[in-house]
Amino acid sequence: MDIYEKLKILTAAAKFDVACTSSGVNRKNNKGGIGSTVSYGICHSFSGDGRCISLLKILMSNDCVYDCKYCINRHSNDIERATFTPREIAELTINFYRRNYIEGLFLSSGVYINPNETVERMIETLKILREEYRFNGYIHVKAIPNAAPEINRALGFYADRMSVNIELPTENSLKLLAPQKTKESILKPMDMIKTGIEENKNEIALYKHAPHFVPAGQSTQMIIGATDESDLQILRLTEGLYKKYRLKRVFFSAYIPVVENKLLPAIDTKPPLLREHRLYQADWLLRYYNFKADELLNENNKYFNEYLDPKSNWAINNLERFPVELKTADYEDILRVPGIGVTSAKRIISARKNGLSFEGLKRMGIVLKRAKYFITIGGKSYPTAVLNEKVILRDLVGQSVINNNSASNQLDFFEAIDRMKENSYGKR
Amino acid sequence: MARDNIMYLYDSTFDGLMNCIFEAFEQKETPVDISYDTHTLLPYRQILTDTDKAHRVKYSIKAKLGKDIYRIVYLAYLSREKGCELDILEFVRFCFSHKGNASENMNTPIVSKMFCLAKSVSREQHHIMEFLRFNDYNGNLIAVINPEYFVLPLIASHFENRFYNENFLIFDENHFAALVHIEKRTEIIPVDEFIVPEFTEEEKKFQTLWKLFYDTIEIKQRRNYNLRRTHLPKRFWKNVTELKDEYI
Repeated sequence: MDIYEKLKILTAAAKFDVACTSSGVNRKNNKGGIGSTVSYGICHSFSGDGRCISLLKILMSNDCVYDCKYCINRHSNDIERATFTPREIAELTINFYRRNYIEGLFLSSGVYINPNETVERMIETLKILREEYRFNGYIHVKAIPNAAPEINRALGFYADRMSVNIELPTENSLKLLAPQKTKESILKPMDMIKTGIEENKNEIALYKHAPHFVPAGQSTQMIIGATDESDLQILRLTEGLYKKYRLKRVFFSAYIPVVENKLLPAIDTKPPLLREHRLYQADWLLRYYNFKADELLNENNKYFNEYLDPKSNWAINNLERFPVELKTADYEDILRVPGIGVTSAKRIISARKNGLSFEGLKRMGIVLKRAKYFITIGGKSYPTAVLNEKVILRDLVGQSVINNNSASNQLDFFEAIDRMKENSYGKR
Repeated sequence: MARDNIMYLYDSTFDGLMNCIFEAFEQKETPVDISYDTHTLLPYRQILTDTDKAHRVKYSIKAKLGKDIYRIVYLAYLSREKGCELDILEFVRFCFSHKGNASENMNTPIVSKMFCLAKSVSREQHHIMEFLRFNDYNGNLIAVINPEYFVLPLIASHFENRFYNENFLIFDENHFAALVHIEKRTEIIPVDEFIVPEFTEEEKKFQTLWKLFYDTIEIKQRRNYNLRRTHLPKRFWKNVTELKDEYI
């Protein structure tokens, strides 16, 4: 099989992995080598689906011995199989890197022969890159569940980021769809990486030249919509992962049916892209806005509002906390205003010494579309903006959605809104 | 401040512009324009570029106003936008008379204008760092770029460090200049014309492999061309290996 065919098969097999970030670590080139990393990460291209391409994202092999039902590479599936040699991967990476196509490599693999053998070959690949080519670019590598901990650990000394996919949000779903994986087989390597990073911090504090272990931290991803977990379950799990395993990122992947199976959504099901989007918005609120999962959703509201972003939704349900007076409010409270992000909140704090005005806010690049309902400046609210649930919903949700939802032309506007709220994805 | 009926003519360098600022402060005047374009009917004064004076201006901006403001001035200058020089003078004057960091005065028109311009230039810098594509010619790397602003000075250290052991050339076809890194030395030179050589077989092979990767990585069920154009504006496509064939 030639390199073109291999690349095609092993790219197609890797494309459902979401993470393509090259962020989290700053490293200059050393004089004998090639490459560097920048902490904010660099996207080099965008594919036809609008997703960023930062890394050469491939599987080492799709010749997998496991039989996970949701997975296109499952053993019982009749597809073409291919396996890269370590040198082939290293040469592709270097040649793409030199042309500024990529920031580095994202290497994952099906379980080839057995978990330990798979990881050994991945280590060999990274060794060629790091030691022979003296490659200083970014490497993201997947830990392989069920491989011996010390072997997975060795992988981490060549990588910038390591991840273990949690795949499905509950143990029941795993049992159902990924029989060879258990909660334990996933959490164990995650725990190993977390402990490894912590120990490594101490080593580096003691010996400046101690080798670095996964300096850009670990991440994970889970599939949304293959099984029937609620947004609340997913968000609580996400919060727990950030706290317990100190993850840098949790990625969500809208399930795209690739195989026919009675346990899975039908093959013509559309990927739940909007649901994925809402989860990412909420994930941001957890990481940068000090929200807690239980503030955003609860047992009575287990799903996000399809028509409103989680922050606006939260604000409308907590109107008693508004308006926020921008001249005196704390940073934390300003950050909770819909439409105001970290940068804007900081700008408001530093600009208010010299006086604030709504015009001034606009000049500062602050978008008032959502924020205007929830703020006052010196006790004055924005002209035409009223802090009232129904008014805000009407303005933000917009007429088009309401038209779509009013089946009968007599339907009252607010009834339509109530109906929309009920029609969230929860009630499938 | 009243406009004095005179125009400053400078040599288009950053040091030259610093001398214009020096002159305006020393003479306590505001010229009607600062430009390097000699085709003018206005009475003009030629401002000579004195490195020592330039250094004094740069030093006092950095020391008294801070590195952030210095960076805004430098980025705004690299925009090469018509009239940016006069705005820079107004901005520097404003900052000297209103102490504090730039974001404290973000709601002042001139500050917000300069802030936005600097932001655009820095965004262009990142676009080029993302979308620049080298082609290999028997071991030497060549890239052609078409940035809106003159970003070569901004991307130099990034590529110099990353590809230290390579020989490379980046030709800016919009500003007729090239960043050249040969035998571990880097410089920016003016270039009037640059003819790109034919691709080698080896180069074609990797371009084909990359295009194959690019087409395969897309999830067709999620196709969203508008989103792609938001992130990767069409004006860059003609120099982006994987998209140049789709650029019309």
